[in-house]
Amino acid sequence: MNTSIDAFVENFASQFDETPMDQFQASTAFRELEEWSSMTALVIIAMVDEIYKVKLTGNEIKDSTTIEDLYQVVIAKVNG
Amino acid sequence: MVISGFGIRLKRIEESDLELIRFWRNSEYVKQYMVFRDYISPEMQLAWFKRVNNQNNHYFLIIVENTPVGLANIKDIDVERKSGESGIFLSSPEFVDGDLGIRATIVLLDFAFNQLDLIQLHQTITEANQAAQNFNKHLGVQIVESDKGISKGILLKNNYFSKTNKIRKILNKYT
Amino acid sequence: MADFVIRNVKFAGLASAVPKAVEQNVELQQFDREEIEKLVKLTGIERRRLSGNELTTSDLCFSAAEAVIAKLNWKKEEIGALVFVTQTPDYILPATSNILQHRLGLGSGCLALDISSGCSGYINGIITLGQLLQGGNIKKGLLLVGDTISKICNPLDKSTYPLFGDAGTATAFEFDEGAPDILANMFSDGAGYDAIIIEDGGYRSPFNEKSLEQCVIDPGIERTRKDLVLNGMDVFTFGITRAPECVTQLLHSFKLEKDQIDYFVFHQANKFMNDTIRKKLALKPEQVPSTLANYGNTSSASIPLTITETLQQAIQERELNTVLCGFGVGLSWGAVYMQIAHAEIADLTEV
Repeated sequence: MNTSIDAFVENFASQFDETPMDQFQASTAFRELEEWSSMTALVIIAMVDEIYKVKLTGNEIKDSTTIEDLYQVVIAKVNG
Repeated sequence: MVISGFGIRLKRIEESDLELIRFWRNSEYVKQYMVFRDYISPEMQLAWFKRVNNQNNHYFLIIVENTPVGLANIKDIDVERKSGESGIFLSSPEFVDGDLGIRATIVLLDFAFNQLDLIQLHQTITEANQAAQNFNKHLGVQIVESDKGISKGILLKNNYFSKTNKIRKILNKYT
Repeated sequence: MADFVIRNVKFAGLASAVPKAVEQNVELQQFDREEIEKLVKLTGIERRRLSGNELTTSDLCFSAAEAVIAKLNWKKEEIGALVFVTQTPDYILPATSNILQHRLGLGSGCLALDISSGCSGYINGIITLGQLLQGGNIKKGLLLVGDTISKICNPLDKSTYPLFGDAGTATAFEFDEGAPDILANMFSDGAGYDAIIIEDGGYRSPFNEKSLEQCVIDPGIERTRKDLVLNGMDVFTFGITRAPECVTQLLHSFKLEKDQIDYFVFHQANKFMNDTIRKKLALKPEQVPSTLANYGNTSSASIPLTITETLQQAIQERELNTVLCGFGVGLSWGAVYMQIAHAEIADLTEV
C-alpha cells in the first residue's frame, strides 16, 4: 500500500468519471467539484476501504474540506 | 408490505399516510423538484391514491428509525415490456446530507429489478434537481431526452447492478 | 361533544422536578455509535434524566408539589383535591394519590384521584381537575402529572430506550370567580390501543414466566413482554394528523385566532414529528417551545416541564395566551386554551 499523499490524490481522482485529473490536488476543496454528490462520498468510502483497508465515515467526510484533510484522517487510521 | 435493507424500511403507503404525503408534496422544498407543482387538496390526494393503489404502482414511505422521511415509488409498470418509472423524494433538506437517499434508492431499485423482475426503469428529473442528475449517473442512468427543463433517463438492469457493485458492498459492510 | 368550558378556575402556579442523573444518548454503549448519532439527529433527543432504582414518579411529583405549595404560600389544609396522572404509579393498588395526600400532609377531606394517562395526560388532568373545581366546592387543587418511563423501557430497545426521560410536575389550580375561561377538547380512539402498550402484567394477559423472555424483534430492538412497545410509524401518522386537527378544532370552536396565541406547547416525542405538526399549523418556531433535546419524551410531564423551562420568565413579564396539546397513548389526544396571568412558576427542582 502506497501511503503517500500523491497516491491518495490519484486514488481519489480515479473515482471521478468526468472531472479532468488536473483538477485534483491535495489542496482541492472536494465538495466544490461539480461531480461531487452524496453518492461520490460513498464511492470514496468504498475506495478507502478497498485500498487502505480502513473505514472512513460520513461524518469524517463532512468535517473535511480538502483532499489532504481526508488523507490525514485515513493515514491516522492506517497507522492505528 | 414492508421491504427492509441497509438500515431503512420501505412501507407500502396506506390511506392513513395520505395526509403526511400531501403535506410533503405541498411544501416548497419538495414541490420545486416536481413536474406537477399546483396545490394538492385532500380530495385530489385521495383520488390519486385510488388511482395508484394497484399492482402496477408501488408507492412506499421511506422509514428510518420509525420516522418517515420521504417517498419512493415504482409506477406505471408495463408487465410486457418489464419496465416502470422510478422516483424518490426526501421531505426535508436535512435528510439529503448523508447516505440516506442512496440507501433508499438501492433498496427501491433492488426491489424493482429483483422482486418485480423489471429490466428497465425510466426517470423524470427536473433541471433544478442537480443533485439527482449527478446521483443517477453513478447508478448507470443514461439521459435519453432533455426538453423544457425536464430530463428523461433510462436505467437498464445490467448497468445498474454493475455500477452499484462497489456501493452495495460498502453499504453491506457498514450498515 | 368533545368541547369543554371550564369557568372560575385559575392556573395559579407550577413546579417541575427531574432526577439529577443525566444520560447522554451518544454515550450509550449498547448501540452502534453511528446509529445512535443518526437517531439523535432524527429524534432531536440528546440527553435524558433517569430516576434509576430509587425514585418513583410520585417522588418527583412530591418534590414538585412541595415546591409549588411553598411558592404560592398555600396552607395544606385548604387543598381539597389531588389528581395524580401517571402510567408509572407506586403500586398496582392502592392509588398513589392517596399515598401522596398522606406524604404531603393534606387533610383527609382532600379528594384523591389517580388517572392512568400518558402523552395526553396533562390535558386529561386539566379537564378533570377543572371540572372538580369549577363548582366552587373545592377551592384549591393540585394536578400532579408525570412518569418514569425509563423504568419500563428495555435498554436494548433502540426504538424506546433512547427516547424517554423521567419527570414529575405539580400544577396548582384554584377556584376564582371571574377567572378567564379555560377552553378544552379531548378525544379517544381505542382502536389504536396497541400502538403504545405493555403487553403483560395487567389482567388481559397476566404476568407469567414468558413475560421475562428477551426477544429480538429486529436488529437493535430487543425486549420482553413486560417492556414498553412503541409502534413508531403508527404513532407518527396519528400525531401529525390528530394534533393539528384538535388545535384547529379548538381555535375554531371557540372562535380564537392563531395570531392571538403567544405560545403553543405540544407534547414532544420526536423532533421531526413535532416540526411537521408545527409546519402543518403554520406556526413560527418561536411560538413553539421545546424541551426535547435535554429531557426527551417525558410523557404527560412534557407540557408542564416545557412551561417551567421555557416560559417562566415570560409568565412573570406579561399575561400569556397559550394553547397546550397532548397526543399519544390510548390513543388519545386533546388541546387546552389557557390565559396565564400572575402565576407563580417555581425554578426547576432536581431530585
